[in-house]
Amino acid sequence: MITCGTQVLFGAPLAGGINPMTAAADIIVGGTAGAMTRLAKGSALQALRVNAGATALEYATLSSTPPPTPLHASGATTNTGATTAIGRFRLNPAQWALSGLTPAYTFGIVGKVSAAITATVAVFALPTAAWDSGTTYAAGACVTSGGSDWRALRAVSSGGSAPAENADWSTAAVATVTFTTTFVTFASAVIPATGVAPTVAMNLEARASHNGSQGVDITTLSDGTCAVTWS
Amino acid sequence: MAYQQYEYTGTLVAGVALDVDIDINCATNWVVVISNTGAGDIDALDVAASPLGTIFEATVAVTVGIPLAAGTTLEGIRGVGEPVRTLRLTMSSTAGTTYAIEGGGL
Repeated sequence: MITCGTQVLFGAPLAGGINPMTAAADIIVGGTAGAMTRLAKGSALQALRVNAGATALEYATLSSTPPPTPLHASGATTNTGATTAIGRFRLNPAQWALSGLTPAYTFGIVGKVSAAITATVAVFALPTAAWDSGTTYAAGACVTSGGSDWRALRAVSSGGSAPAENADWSTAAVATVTFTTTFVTFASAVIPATGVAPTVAMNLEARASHNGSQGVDITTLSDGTCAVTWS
Repeated sequence: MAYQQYEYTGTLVAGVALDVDIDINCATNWVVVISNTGAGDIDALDVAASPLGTIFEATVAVTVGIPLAAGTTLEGIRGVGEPVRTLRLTMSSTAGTTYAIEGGGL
């Protein structure tokens, strides 16, 4: 091969091209038709990955953290029909933010249910502020309005009407599990049962009730119950 | 094979292209450096190689560093794995200038 500077005058470039690297920590990646292409190093603590279009390599920030510590550790209830708060969790989607992956949360409940009764544990989102018409809310946001707690089922733009049971808002539980006549049951449910996956942190509270007259012990797992599965 | 060395100096008449044949002498890896030692620019430089010194391949115009200003030196023309007999440089200068060429290879 005969060259003058970066110009190739005669012959095929060695190994597909002239070295395109110009700085420390550069790497060579295949470009169009495999042409040698320079990829500069990323920022601190970034990792090399395939881009969202699966067309090239890029450096990107990856983050993952252990499951969150529940706001309130396990609680037990013995009641005859009333709903009792038995535990709280905090789920933060940002802590599991991996590009291209959608988190689906599961939570665990250990229940000890006497025969012939049914116990229900419903998880509700705890509001963080009063509803404000001038605020844009992300999926999973929880506000108070009209004496009720409302959860955003999807992103809600500002300027809308006050929360009501519709495609944007709901007072319904984030997820519900039901124990049947089983001595010890572990049950879990995907959060959320309705609406899109939350994109903001949520404070959640598990509330238990049952339909029998016997004492019931229902306990949220106290070892960081929020398992995150990816889909 | 001994180290091949070549030196050339000469004059480019204004507007007249000049062929300068560099004796690479089949050195496999070599470099040729062209210096404009005169007052005018070297406005064009074509390069062609010949295995035995008789038949030359089609010329290729050098674009890097051309025009070569007076008093400056062009980045080396390098052959890697190119054991040619002769490298032909065809140079021209609109205003006229002088040149010096140095090369070496093994």
